[in-house]
Amino acid sequence: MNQKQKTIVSIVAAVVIVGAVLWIKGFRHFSEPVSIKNGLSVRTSLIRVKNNSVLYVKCRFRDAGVLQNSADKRGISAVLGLLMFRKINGLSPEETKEKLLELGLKHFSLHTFEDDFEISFQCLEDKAPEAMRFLSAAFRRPEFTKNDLEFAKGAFPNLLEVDVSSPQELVLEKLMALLYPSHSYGLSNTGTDQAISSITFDDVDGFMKTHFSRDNLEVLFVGNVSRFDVRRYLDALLTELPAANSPQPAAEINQELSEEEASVINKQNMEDVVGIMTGVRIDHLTDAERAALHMLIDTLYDEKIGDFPSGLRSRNIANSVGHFFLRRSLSNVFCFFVFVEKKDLEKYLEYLEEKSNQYRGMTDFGKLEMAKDYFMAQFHTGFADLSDVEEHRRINALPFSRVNGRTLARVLLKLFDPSKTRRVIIGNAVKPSTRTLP
Amino acid sequence: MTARFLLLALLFSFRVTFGQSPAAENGFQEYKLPNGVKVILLENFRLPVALVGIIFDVGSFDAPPNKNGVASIVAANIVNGEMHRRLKSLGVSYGVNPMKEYTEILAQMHPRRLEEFFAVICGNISEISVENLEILKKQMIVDGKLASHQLNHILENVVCANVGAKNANIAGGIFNEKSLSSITGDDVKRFFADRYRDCRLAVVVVGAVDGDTLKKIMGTTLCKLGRRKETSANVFQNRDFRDIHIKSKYVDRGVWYFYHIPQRDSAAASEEFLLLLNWRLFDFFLKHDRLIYDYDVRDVMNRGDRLLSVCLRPRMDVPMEKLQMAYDVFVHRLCKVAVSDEYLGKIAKLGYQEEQFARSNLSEVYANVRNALLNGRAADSIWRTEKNIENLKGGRLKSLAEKILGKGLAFKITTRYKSDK
Repeated sequence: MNQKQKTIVSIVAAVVIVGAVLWIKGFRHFSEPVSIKNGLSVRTSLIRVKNNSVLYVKCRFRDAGVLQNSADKRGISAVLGLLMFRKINGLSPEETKEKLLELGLKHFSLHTFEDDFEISFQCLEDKAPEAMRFLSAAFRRPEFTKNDLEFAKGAFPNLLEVDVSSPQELVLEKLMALLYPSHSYGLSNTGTDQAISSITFDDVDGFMKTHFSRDNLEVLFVGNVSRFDVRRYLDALLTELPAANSPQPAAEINQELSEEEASVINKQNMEDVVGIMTGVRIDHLTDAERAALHMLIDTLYDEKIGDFPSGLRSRNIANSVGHFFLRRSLSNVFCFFVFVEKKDLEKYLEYLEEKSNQYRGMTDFGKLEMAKDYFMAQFHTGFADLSDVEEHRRINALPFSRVNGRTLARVLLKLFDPSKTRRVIIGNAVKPSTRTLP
Repeated sequence: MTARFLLLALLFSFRVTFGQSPAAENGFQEYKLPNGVKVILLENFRLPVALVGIIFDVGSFDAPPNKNGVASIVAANIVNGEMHRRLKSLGVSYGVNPMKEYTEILAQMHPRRLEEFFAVICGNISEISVENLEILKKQMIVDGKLASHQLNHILENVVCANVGAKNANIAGGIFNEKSLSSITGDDVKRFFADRYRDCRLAVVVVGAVDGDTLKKIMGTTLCKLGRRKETSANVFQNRDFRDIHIKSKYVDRGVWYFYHIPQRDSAAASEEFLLLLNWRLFDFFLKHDRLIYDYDVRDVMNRGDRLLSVCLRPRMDVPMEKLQMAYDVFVHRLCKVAVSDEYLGKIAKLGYQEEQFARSNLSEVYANVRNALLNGRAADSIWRTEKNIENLKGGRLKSLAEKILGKGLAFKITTRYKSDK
């Protein structure tokens, strides 16, 4: 080997070494199964954020949320959520919370009101190993007695009362029942009085055993940690969590919507304001269609640029307006709601019908280019809070540049499909409208 | 030899490139532009994002008599349709928040969009065009009627009325159908010209922006705004409060305790007092979690004298009186308990921990800086130092607790559920 060849080999070797060091130090984000002790693996994602002393962790048990609870035990996930970190390692509730503080664990949040059971928290990186070891006991087996269960159930009257007093919650609940008849998605997210009171100690225990295993768990880390750190934390946190428990798959979704297309709720204390919520069910979306949907919603429903009947452009009909998108594992719902004065209700519905017809047949998408620019411009930014980083990356990873006129037209048809749309109106002594659905 | 040298050079360059972290936070940079605009920057290169707040020291409290609601109309028009389109095409997410004491444009963007953002804002900040005034007013009326289902909104109005009983400006926080209908487009423009152009304007930037770049951007954008006057804000100073009881159809029920911190004590130790109160309330919550469903502590007003509220929401099966008795005992103990150095040490430890969390959340840093500004404090005061804790030794925290909790209870609002006696 001559000198020149030696030089080339050395350079290649150096590049390989540098690459290996970079890989080991975990400079890249990843999302893949990570092997932990006992030869098992956990689906794990890491988003690396440098210069940061706080670690954000999210553990998601798939299909263990309220939406997967049976009708007669609706709310069992939420009840379990209140008990899971109440007592750990034989400590009392007060001692447990003191210990969590001492270990630098903060922003503890349990989200149980959707498909999945999500536990998220933030901890100081230097205390992370100890914090994970402490929490592992709660993952393995939450400690609670029958008394604790009664305590947790006692918190529900507050939640249920809020639901029945809020016009938005009332219409949403009814709308879901119309969009998903005889499916879990059509039932109340909070639970019902009857179902909550019937939950027993054995129910909660059985639910834990069925739904909480490493096999239906995904873990996300956001922080200044490497691949090695991630494996260390997973070992500490999850080694004692049982492996396969054969979790029940989510109930299949039925295709039919309710025969009733629109419904009216009477609420006396609404004065002369009427609420209208329209929901469209969209069962399947490709990634490009999802990107197109973001663009359509962002432009059409924008108060200052969209001329959909929202905001200030709705023909002198004052209204308070909003929209949201429910992303669920089996189906999606786009909801659009407005509140108008009662005297303007028919005028508004007429306008809604006219505009929907116009948009359904839309072929000129020039205006949507701006929404494309908006999402493309946001492509590399992150949000200011660690807990938002994942959601932001998820949206930005959608293929906005691939969206073309055909994709937009296809999604518009789904967005304004009358056969998949239902409407609920709420107000004081409101009569059902004769207007057809958009 | 050459190969070894190359290898060493490569490894060395790796060390230089990756061994160093980008510039970390180096404290706040605070300065004033020649036209009086205050600029505060905290460099933080953790994420490729810049959080920008443009804060006008004018809010709904500043509305002229009988023109309540005019500040909200200004906020809705401060970014017009054309500006909105331009900001969106830059990938800027933003909101305009009309508050009681201030109005802010709060935006998030990629740092390389900062210059264009300021150019768009500055090109339009000097005057206001009023679009769809009548529709906007009607919309505010609809929102107001809907808010009859949100207890927080009602409480806010009740608080404004109570605090403003002897202060017409503060009563300006409340708008209704009558006050809105009297507002004309000229009123909006006049209010904007009188107050917003000559208010104390501040710009707070937190994120991946270096000081020199920001100074350059300010030189070509905000520096070109007309000179802004140093105005004295209407301060809230009122000790003549009254307790309020609401028995209503609303399902949310609870007790709101309002504490008054005189201006002279606001800046000094009130942050440590807040930490003490938060921490002890957390203990209280743990000990009484069979009584309380939820609680929170917050600043209701910052300008001048400070007003804090502690809200306790009992569980549905708990009589209100039982909760109030437990809280009275808690306050009594908090006032009387000797504040030892050990106790202060614990507060300090907790404070530093809180600070690390706050630093990881740019929005929290921004909100703390904005509140410090409104309190007339330096931005640096949001970080806890040994000096803070030293200042509290010798019973100072205890006397402050006694003063605020014992004698300083301004008033109380109790909302009862329909089934309560």
